[in-house]
Amino acid sequence: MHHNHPPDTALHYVSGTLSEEVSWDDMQAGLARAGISHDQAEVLSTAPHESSESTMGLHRVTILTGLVGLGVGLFLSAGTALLYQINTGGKPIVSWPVVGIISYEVMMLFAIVSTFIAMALRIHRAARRFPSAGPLNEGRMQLVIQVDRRPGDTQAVIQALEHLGARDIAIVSRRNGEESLLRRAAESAAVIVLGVVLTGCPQNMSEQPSFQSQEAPRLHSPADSVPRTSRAVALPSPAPPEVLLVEGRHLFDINCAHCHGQTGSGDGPVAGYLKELPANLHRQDVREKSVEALYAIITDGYEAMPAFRGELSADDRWALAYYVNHLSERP
Amino acid sequence: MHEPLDKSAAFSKINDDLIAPLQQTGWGYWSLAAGLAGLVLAGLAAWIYQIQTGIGQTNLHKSVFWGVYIASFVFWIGVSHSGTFISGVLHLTKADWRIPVTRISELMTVFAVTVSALFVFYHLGRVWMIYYMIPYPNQREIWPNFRSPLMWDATAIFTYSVSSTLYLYVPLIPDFALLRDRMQGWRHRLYRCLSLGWSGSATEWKMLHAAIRIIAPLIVMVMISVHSIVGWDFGVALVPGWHSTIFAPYFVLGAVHSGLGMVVIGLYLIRRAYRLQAYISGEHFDKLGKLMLTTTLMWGYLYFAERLTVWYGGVPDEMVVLDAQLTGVFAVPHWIMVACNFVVPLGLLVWPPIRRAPLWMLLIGLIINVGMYLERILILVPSLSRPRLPYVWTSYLPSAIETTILIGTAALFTLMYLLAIKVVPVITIWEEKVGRRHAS
Repeated sequence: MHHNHPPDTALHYVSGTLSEEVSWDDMQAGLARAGISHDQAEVLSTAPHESSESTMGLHRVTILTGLVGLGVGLFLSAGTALLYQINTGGKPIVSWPVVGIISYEVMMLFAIVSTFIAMALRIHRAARRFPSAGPLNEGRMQLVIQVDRRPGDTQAVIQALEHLGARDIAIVSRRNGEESLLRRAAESAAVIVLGVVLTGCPQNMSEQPSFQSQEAPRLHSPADSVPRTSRAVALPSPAPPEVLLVEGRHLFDINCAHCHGQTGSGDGPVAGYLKELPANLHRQDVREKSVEALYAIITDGYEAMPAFRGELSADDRWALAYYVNHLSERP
Repeated sequence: MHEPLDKSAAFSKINDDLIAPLQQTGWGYWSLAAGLAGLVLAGLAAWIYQIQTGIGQTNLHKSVFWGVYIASFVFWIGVSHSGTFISGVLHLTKADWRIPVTRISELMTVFAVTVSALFVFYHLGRVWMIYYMIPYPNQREIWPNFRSPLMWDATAIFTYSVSSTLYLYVPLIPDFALLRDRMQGWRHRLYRCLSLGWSGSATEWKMLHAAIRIIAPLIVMVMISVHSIVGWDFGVALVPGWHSTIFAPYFVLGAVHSGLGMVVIGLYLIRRAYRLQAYISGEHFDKLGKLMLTTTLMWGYLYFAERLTVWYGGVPDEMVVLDAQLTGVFAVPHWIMVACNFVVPLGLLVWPPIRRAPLWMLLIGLIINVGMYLERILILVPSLSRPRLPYVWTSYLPSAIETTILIGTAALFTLMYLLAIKVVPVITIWEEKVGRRHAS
């Protein structure tokens, strides 16, 4: 026998192993005689003894989350289609077969995942409620009974267990408020998620030359860089200004006006469909850019504007840059 | 540790027998794993090359826009249905003989679904754009187009893969707890994490049973919807030979048919490798054989029903596709397919001694899987290479890159399974004990 005197904040359990031949009713009767109620005792075994037909209330979780999933599915299939209507050749924007299929799958997903999570949480809670006194042996059930702190109760329970023919009777105590692995994991996860969300991401990465996925690195030097061999800036030799303006106007109408507008105010016919609006070229910060800077933007792109290196020759781009630079001087 | 009673010797033996595969690893295992890993790496290299240089590495071209990648995708989703069928449907019918078979087939389900999703990625030219298919509010202000059967696919397969992983995991919890109590070191920590603190109390068992009882019918319903939706990828299209209402049930049934074949193959190999003859007997092969006989007959029925309506209708566009398969360029693979899916299994499975013989069942399983893979290809290639405009008629054979990727992915499936055997007991230990108790 064992005479531990654990501290008062602990929970005490008495455990013993019974042969699996002991019937369930005998066990209940023996416990009742010792004044131990149902919810104070638990049987641990390596395989389930009785197969109950009860769903232990889990079906409520399933049904509730299934309905939530149904709602999410309805939003995805019908809601998004209504919010952002795209006409695809005569088919209805929202149709019952589509809504039915997607809502069905999402409903099942939510129902199954939530049922699993609810089961896992309840198992975890139930396991912590009655701690095992040691690894379970095959062929024997472990009976664990929670007792109050008074020593008399413990003795009564031990006697009841001996009556039932239990072996390996032991007193188990567990400190209350032990943090479970689950809670610690949840806390660290919350810290990580919160950290990511709060620090956020800087937004000014978008202000850079426009690169497409898997585009090869650009091997030329920036427009205003100085070559090693001389101090002169190497740029396409400019034609006379009048020619540049005329060519620039012509090229602007073909290549730029659809986004930037005919007057360069950012009001082109395509602009209404774009998320990131084309710049108004009369803006102060655009007006202050040098011709070289404008040449670089046209060549390499900027934010959402694509690079025109492949579309236009260097002379053309220079003419455009010159034209845009002088745009605001026009009456 | 206390000495177990005599009656518990049986359960202790069950523990030892079924945990042995996790602990005993011979050179045969390692050499097989190494060989498979080599094939997987070759497949990965081929895929990387395909991503870098483009989808032109495949032989997909105008009118044959779906080839062996999609055929394999459909095939592996089909294989995955075996697990759900055996563990789900047989659980609902309280068929106790399924106990040694469920874990093996559930593992097959999870890995087959994973592998089939890979085939979708191979098939995409621009894999890096896959995130467009995820429905989340985004800066592009576009949502996926849910009117497309391919989005139904994405939703259904995501639901199915998550659900079948959970359905594999739930009955594993008590087994993980058993392993936690018997192992040390990193394995002990791993199983302690995975067993959710399981202590085996009656309340926990009831909760586990409740969850299984709820999830099993749900996952069977999901299983049927998943392969129906894959069938509708073809069935809703106006391609000659595809626009048939029978495709949904035909695909579901074909999936169970090929899945049963794959389960029998796995069952034979594991039983042989780990000497589990005491747990998996001729009776199990016999019962699976009867199921296979049923699916063989049903496959034949649905196949005939589909062909009959096409043939009798005589629509020229569809007759071209049908004739190409019956007597034309696709005749040889087509009749091999019919033989492998129907004639040979029917002829063999009606004999009880053959059904009870594991080696015969292995053979039949292999034959069925060959036939079902051919069937997937024959749904795709004849219809796509004989479109309505004869000017565009073409032919298709997989390229070297495609073949390498196919073989690498099949090796990946086998390798994942091989590694899983070292982490997970291949027969559900606690259910085996329950079954033994019922039997005695």
